[in-house]
Amino acid sequence: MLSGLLALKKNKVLSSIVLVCLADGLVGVSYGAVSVTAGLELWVPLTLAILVLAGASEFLFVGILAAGGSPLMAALAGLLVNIRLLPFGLSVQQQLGSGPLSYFGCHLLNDESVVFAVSQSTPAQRKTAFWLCGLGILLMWPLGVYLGGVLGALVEDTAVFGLDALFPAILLALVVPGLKSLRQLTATFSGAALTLLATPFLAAGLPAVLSIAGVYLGKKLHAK
Amino acid sequence: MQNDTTLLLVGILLLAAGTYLLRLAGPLLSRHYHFSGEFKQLLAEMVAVLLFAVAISATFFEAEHYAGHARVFGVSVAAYCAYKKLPFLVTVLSAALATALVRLLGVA
Repeated sequence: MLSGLLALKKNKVLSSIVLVCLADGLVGVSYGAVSVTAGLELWVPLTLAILVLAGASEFLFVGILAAGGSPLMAALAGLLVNIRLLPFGLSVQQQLGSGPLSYFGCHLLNDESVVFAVSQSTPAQRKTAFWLCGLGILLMWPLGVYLGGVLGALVEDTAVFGLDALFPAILLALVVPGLKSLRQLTATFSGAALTLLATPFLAAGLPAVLSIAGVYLGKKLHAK
Repeated sequence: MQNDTTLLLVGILLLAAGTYLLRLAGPLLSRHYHFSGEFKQLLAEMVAVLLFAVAISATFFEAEHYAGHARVFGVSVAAYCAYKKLPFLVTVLSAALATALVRLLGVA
């Protein structure tokens, strides 16, 4: 773990992880503020932030509640959005290990920690990157939500700050620089196109899962 | 009111427990089945494709509604920065800044 940490520090991955955690904290601020301005009590987004720890599904949960939907519907919609965590989990088993800690480690599985885990070159670095990013987000996400909730009670219109654009921007900043081959580009763009096309017809979360078909398109069109 | 809070708690716990099970399923499956190198390669690609799709749908949609021109513009600026491999912080902050600026100009 320690040697992994030193290597990560040397190749600047450590500072990227810190920045991603800070940015997620900012997204948390916007989510906390939006939830409170929508009329929810602060404990709702805060409990979600700690126990669910998966931003997109929490936005959706709170959004459905704010629109007057039932909490059970909101939970089901949130679970649909989180289906992608299952395929993510297939690629990080090694980083989690197999001891009792791995059951806690599962909770740290999210978009960001998975990207950092799969993009490192050695097993030790992958493991360290996964845990650091996961723990950092476990800390920063609820903290951001709390601050946002407090701020949201003071500021009238939080959309003014443009914080809602942060979440997609973070994901793009993580993924786009790694897209190199024509095959990857075909896969990502066709996958995203499928998602957009399906969005008016399917329940939230499912269209994103559909994007996986893009991987097969990329493979078919650019087979070696 | 008491009833509402109970239902809300049930909803939160349902989402939390279900999400945890989804997270647990991947590692458990890959512990019991051995996946080939080619399959792992496909998995890594799938991660990128899924994340990109989630980013694109979060750019255009807020729940089932169009998120508005301002956010789409802001994220487009960030996408350009990411494409140019600018530092992470620049990319991410450019999205919020660009979105805030066009909203200031009256674009929703």
